[in-house]
Amino acid sequence: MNAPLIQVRGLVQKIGGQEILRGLDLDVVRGETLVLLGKSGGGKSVFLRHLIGLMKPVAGSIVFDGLEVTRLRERELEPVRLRIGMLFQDGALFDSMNVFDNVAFPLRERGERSPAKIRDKVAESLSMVNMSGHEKKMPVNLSGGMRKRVALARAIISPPDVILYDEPTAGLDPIVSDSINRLIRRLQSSLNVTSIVVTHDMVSCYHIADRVALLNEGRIYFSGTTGELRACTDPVVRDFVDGRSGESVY
Amino acid sequence: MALLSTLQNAGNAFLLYLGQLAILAGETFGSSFAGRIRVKLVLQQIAEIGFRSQPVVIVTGAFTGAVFTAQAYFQFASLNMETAVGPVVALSMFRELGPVLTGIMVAGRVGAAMTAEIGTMKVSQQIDALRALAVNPVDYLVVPRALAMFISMPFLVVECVACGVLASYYVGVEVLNITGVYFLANTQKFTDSSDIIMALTKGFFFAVVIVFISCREGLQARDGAVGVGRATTATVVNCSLAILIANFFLTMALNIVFPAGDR
Repeated sequence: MNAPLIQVRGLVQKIGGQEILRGLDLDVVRGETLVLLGKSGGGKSVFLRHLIGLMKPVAGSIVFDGLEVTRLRERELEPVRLRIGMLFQDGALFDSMNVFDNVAFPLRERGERSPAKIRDKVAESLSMVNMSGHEKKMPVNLSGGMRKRVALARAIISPPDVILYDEPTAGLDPIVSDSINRLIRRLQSSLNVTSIVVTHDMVSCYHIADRVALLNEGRIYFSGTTGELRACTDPVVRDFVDGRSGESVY
Repeated sequence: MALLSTLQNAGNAFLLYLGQLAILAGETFGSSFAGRIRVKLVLQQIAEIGFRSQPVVIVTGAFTGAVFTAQAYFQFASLNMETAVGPVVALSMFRELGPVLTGIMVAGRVGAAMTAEIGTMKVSQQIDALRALAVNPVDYLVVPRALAMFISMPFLVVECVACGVLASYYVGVEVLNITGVYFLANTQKFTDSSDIIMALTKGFFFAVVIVFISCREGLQARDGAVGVGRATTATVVNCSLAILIANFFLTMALNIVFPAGDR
């Protein structure tokens, strides 16, 4: 087995006095797609934000490719962030810029000045997410699925080593969800990126996961392949996978 | 005991607020001196802050100068001191009214807009997206606004003062029939370059106050649209109060350098 690209040990985070993460341990291997399952409000997105240094933990460590992320200061995190792309839940597109400028933003910020090169790379990136022809639209005029796809194009325009997906299919209809799932798969095969996908969408999980981890009560409760997840008889895992709340409707 | 505790908490909150402003200012000046300046964004902000604030500043300066002239005339006429109206209005505009009114108008127009824009970016995760893309929000959002404000504000102050003095001349000479030659001669006699330096110095300090309060409120915004609204209100109130308070101390300090009666 390869050495893990990301090693998380004993991660603890408290928000408003409540302990969201309670000593989370997780390894992510280079090139794999890890799906992180868990209840809404269970700390999945919070965990993802720690990986890129958007939040500092109360305790614990995150080692990314040999570098301890939690000890780095804001400017020291920039080289790490150049290697990690993140897709936010609502896309987080810059609403003062059109689609083209949003996608071109990372290139321009990294010093690319040639309009022809920028145009070509934006076209290539938008075509990968099936968003060609929408360059002049403003984010406010895009649907939820389109916003996510544009945000993904922005995240991959300078191909990262890792892509973090925060609820990529949340709030989308099944057809758009399926197109996003296929897109994640396609990006993995074409760019060979390591992906961490936070979701509670089981269809999406079975479609894209190489490995699945279940976050429960602030810790990783289960970790295994989709086959092992299907075969697991643990009641907590089964309740989540089968969508059972344990409450009676009668 | 409860009162003491409340006062202590308020004192701590105020110190924290000042500390956050100082850190933001330190980071901004640090980034500027390190050359992390996006010239295109600075020019865009100069257009937004400097160019588009002109109508507000011109109208404010002109009507303040006009009404001040009228009131001064009504008081001075009974003492046969009509020709003192010009220097009184000019000195007031240069030393106090021009910079303070420009500061308050710019805080209301530009400061509020800065807070609303940055605050909306904060609550909609756009600032997190900037950070995730390895772009420092202070470099990208605060530095261009700060530089544009430092460049624009002195020009706006000069514009406000100039319009106030011109309006004063028009109202005094053309409407209230003060002798134009005496009006001008006395105005020239009692004003000099130190008054202009005082106006520009105050304008620069107010620019510092407005930009850091506005950006700090935006960067600290939370709780969605309600939080952005609250931050915007806080910007206008805090900037206005800070300008009025700082103006007193600046007046006292600058009067040591440029004594008012020393003509």
